[in-house]
Amino acid sequence: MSRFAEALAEASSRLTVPEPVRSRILLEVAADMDDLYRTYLERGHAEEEAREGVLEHFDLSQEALRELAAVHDTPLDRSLRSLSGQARAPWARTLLALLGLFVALGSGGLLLRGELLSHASPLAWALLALLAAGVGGGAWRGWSLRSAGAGTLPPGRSGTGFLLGLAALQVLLGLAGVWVELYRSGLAIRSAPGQAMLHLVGWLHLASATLVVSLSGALVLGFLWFFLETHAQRLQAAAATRLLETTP
Amino acid sequence: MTERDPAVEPQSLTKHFNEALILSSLERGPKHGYQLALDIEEGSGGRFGFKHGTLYPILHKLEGDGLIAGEWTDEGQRGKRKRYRLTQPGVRYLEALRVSWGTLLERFTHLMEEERS
Repeated sequence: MSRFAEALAEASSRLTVPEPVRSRILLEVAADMDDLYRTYLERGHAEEEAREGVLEHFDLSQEALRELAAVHDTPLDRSLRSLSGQARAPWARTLLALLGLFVALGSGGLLLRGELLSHASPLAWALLALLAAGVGGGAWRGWSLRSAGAGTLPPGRSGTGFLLGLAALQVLLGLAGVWVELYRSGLAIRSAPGQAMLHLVGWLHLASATLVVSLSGALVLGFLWFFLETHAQRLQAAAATRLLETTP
Repeated sequence: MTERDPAVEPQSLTKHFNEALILSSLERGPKHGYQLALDIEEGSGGRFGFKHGTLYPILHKLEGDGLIAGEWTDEGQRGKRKRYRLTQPGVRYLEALRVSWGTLLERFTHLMEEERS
């Protein structure tokens, strides 16, 4: 709801940064323009005078917009976006859904029957606790986004980054479990060299079970992050669109 | 987050000048973008007018480098507003920047005086 919608829309058309960064920048500029306008009015300027003063002060030149783009759109950002951008295509979404289904049916079934956990490293319980914490936190964040509604989401962070952190921790803990068990198997083989093959097969079994728990957990958290992040970005973009569409 | 070099060199005078103005304004307390521009303009008696077009890229770069932190707050009827504050690394960087500026100005003055004598 900006009285400077026209100037913002013009700047938006020249701002070459991806969403949601573009929306965040526009919301910040719009809020500052509005506040500066009020400040001018409080200082006794007439409305038109205040409006012109703000527009003069917020001269978003091509060079300034290019610098903003350079700050926010690094080569790494561009390569990541080219990957995540593909996930918006219908075929990529179908593939993601199939992958999710595969994980749910494959490891979910085994987990429910307790087979994986009985064969995995004791660290698998910590992995499950992390997964539960992530799913709980994700559900809470999803509820907050739902309650926020379109256009009212704070334009700062989406608050879903912790899910990626937990997913990475799942993978690291899983790998740590595999290496700890390898060390223990090595010790067992040293004390009973005759049973080396038995210990190695036991380790392989345990390592694969641990990695299935760890990678499945990381995938579930990754999916949760993807869907929440997409939803948050949609809300932020909607807020920016409303801002630009509404004229005073 | 990248480590910033506070050494003020002649080829980066404008950049360091703008950064020093912004950081020292934030040292006096957290501010919104428009308040920063007004604070600098009024604090310098109108000598250093800061266009917002120039301000945002610097603010966002400083934020990316962890020298300042931008926080969105809900300000009731006024809606969401982004406010910036100086971080601890920002305080240290500003101190180093002050020393660097002091040295540069001292050498500059020395050269100018030498020229006159």
